[in-house]
Amino acid sequence: MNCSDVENRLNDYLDGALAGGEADEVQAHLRQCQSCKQQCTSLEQILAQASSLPTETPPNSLWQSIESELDRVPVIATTNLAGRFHDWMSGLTAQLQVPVPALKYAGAMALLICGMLVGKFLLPLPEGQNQIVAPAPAAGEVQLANRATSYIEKSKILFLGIVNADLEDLQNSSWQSERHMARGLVREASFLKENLSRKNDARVRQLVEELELILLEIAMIEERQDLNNIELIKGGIDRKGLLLKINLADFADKPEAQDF
Amino acid sequence: MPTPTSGDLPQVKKPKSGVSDPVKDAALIAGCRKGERRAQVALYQQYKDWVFNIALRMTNQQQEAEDISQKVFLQIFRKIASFRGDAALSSWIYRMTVNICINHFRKEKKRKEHISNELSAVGEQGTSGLQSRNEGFNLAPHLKAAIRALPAGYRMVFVLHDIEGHKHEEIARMLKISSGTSKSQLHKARKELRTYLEPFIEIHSTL
Ligand SMILES: [Zn+2]
Repeated sequence: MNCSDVENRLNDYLDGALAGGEADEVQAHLRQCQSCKQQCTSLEQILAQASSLPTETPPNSLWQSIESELDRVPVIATTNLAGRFHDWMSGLTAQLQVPVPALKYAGAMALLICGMLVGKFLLPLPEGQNQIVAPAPAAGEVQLANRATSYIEKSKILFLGIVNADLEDLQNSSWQSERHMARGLVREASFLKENLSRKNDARVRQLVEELELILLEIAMIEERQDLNNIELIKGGIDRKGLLLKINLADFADKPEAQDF
Repeated sequence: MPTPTSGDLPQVKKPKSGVSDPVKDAALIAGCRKGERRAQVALYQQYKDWVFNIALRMTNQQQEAEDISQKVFLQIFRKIASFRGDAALSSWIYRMTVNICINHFRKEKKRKEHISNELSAVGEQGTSGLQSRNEGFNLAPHLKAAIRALPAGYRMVFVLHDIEGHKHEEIARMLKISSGTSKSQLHKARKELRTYLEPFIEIHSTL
């Protein structure tokens, strides 16, 4: 073997990937060639150092930024999804008959969104139960506040599901449940805008409108979206700090809204 | 040499800090599934150095390594419900970390500068390090600078093979390249490193 033969085999030699005969030949050459020997030693030192580089510790600020991200976009606990979904559906049915503050169902609805988290829309809403939103009563103040709270909470759950999900999963999903939910909420938004305008509650009304813009985008979305559109929606939610605003929204029954 | 694991999982170096204990991991997983902050903190403590160092070697940039680590942990917490537990938690975290690093590189604009441009910049850093040669020669800082100067493709293969101890077949699967490509990338990476580091090694050996 000459020097260039050895140079070509040096990596395999050091990795123990040479057949016995070849390895012996390389070894024999290294014993008599100072220049190849030097190359071999350098490489050995580099590899020894590479596999024992000192461990470095990340700065404390790393956890702080992780934690603030966790606070901004909470992780939704996911257990026993299918069972909880049925609970939610029966809860929804009950809700349509008896007007109960929708917030009670917020936790269960979060589990619906878990379906989106996993990225598969396994459980589309059956037809006939489309009406997520209760039919409009002649709204008293309490009822109006409840409906506004419910609208905001449902939007939040929908957004959380989208923000939490992988882009890839969202790209491949049918968007059926989201579209569905968003359309119901857009209908509710127009009711709220009409009625809230007379309530002097400018802040709530503004939030309703901001949420509606994103809801409209979701309501219009087609199956198998390209990444740009999805990133646009995600970005819209992010940019407007909507999740944060929802958390800060000042409603009478706020304590329940803190559930997740 | 680490022993190979079953299936298509890459062989995984155990985290240097703390031992990956299946019982402890199970408790962490359960807590994180419920979104408990305490469990999240504990899991972070257990794996932070490991994840951060992989990212640091892959990018050799402090800020990028921090960004990648943040992504990894957020993804762990958001995806832990889908972790089925048929592999060790450490394998799952490892694969996630490497995948996020790989995606990071894919997004990174192709580096046009040839290695020598960057080496001239890190060269200054290197010589100042030599001033402390009386305290014994330490190759590590020079090696880190040199790894940093490698083109991203070479660097990933070098990190996965020579730092993390993967075989070419595993690297080929992870990076979706052929093992022949993995091998030739590694050889080029080593050659670049040797070209850069040899003077330092020689200076040291003649002192
Ligand atoms: Zn020779």
